[in-house]
Amino acid sequence: MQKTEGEESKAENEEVKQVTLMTSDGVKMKVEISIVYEMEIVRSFIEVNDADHSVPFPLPNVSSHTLDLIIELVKNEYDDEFMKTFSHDELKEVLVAANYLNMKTLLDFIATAIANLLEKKSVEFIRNFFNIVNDFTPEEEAEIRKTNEWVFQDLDED
Amino acid sequence: MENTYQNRNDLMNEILVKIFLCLNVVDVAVASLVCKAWNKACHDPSLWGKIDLSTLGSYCFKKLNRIGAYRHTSLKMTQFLKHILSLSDGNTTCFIFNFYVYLTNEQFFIVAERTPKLKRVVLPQTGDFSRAGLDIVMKSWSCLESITITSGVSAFYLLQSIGKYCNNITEMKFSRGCNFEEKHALAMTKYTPKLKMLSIRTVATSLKALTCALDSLEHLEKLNICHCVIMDTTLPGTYMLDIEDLRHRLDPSSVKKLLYCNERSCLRCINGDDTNPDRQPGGPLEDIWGEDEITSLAHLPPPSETYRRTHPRMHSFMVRIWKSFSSGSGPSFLPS
Repeated sequence: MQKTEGEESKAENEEVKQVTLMTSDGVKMKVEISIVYEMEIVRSFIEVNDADHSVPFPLPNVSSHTLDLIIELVKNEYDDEFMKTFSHDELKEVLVAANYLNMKTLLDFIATAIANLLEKKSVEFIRNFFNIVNDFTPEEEAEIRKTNEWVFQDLDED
Repeated sequence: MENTYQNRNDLMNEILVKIFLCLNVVDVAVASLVCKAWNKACHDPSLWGKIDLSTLGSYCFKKLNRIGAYRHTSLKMTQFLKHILSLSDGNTTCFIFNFYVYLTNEQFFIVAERTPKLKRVVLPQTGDFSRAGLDIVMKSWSCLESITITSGVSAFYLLQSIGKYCNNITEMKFSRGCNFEEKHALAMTKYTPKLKMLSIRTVATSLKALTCALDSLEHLEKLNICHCVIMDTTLPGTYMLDIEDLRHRLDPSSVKKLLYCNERSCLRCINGDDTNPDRQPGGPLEDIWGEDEITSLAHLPPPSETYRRTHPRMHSFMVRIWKSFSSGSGPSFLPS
């Protein structure tokens, strides 16, 4: 299909609209501006300073691997199936990074996805699933079990 | 930038709260027992403004859909209530009981004692609502503004207790099974004079009671009488009135305040007996309790996603109606 001149230059412009981000492990990554705009922390900087987009914007708290995952997630329009392939560590890192970058939609998406995992689960299941160490002291644990029988055994209606 | 990670615990706390905000109250209670960090996050006040027990379904509470559930095994329910209320730390302003679970006197007191800022409460279908008990509870709820009652509680005694302790009631709903009689309307003029919204949909009432409420409650803005059985007790025998009769018998300014079902336009007609089958296999009682054309008196969600999939056409219609109620435009209940 033939492009008119106007469309071509528009397409070119869009190609130009990339921002270079520098991750914690020193990798420079060119990221589409539409994705970068979801990162409130970067967006507010770009908007205030009409900065040269080729100068890398430093993200000292985000690794290149995590940033890759985030970009994929946004590109896939927050695909549940894709996120299910994450390891727990990856999920946690993405969560922390999303919070740091202040990506509201991504945060809401992950929070909802994790909440879905927690729904109607037992304490033991959650600890095992998320690999969480029970750090209550034996005394605290005994007290919890005494005052919260409802959670540690099946309740049946009379 | 180094210090961003110093506060990693705060960060995780913030994120955990975000996650827990998506959970129902039972799951938050469970999460609070996983570890110390989660326990701390579960104390966040933003989680506890509203405690909604209307959907208790979880692995710990099963087989709920029978009125009077947990009546004889109330200990664990009591423990659960104590636990969530200790997490809420007195920050709750809206408490919705479970429709089916029997509320014991002890539980009622425990909740009242630990919710001093309560503004709205929705009572369950069954429970131990003694006159003396109501007095004790209402004394704790002096900030109360809105209440939904069921046939489990005597409206008359409740109004008397409200009159003693709660001076700010502006909204009341009577659920199916209640009656709305002239004595109630009279009690309201005395004990809830600031009332603005009153829903008596699907209950039995009389022309005298309606006239009394409409004439004497000077702040009354809306009176929901969808599917009420309205009797005229001034005539010998039983005579049922419909909306046409009311138009003739009430003055126009009163008729304007009425919300009534106009050609199957109310939520009950739309939702029907087979609404939300996952929630209530036994019939529409719970829906009648939870839905209302006055949105501030409704607490059950609009038709569920599951329902949308199984009944697509009905669902879109219901959502449209729901939105029109919420926005205040759309099908009018008032004669034009």
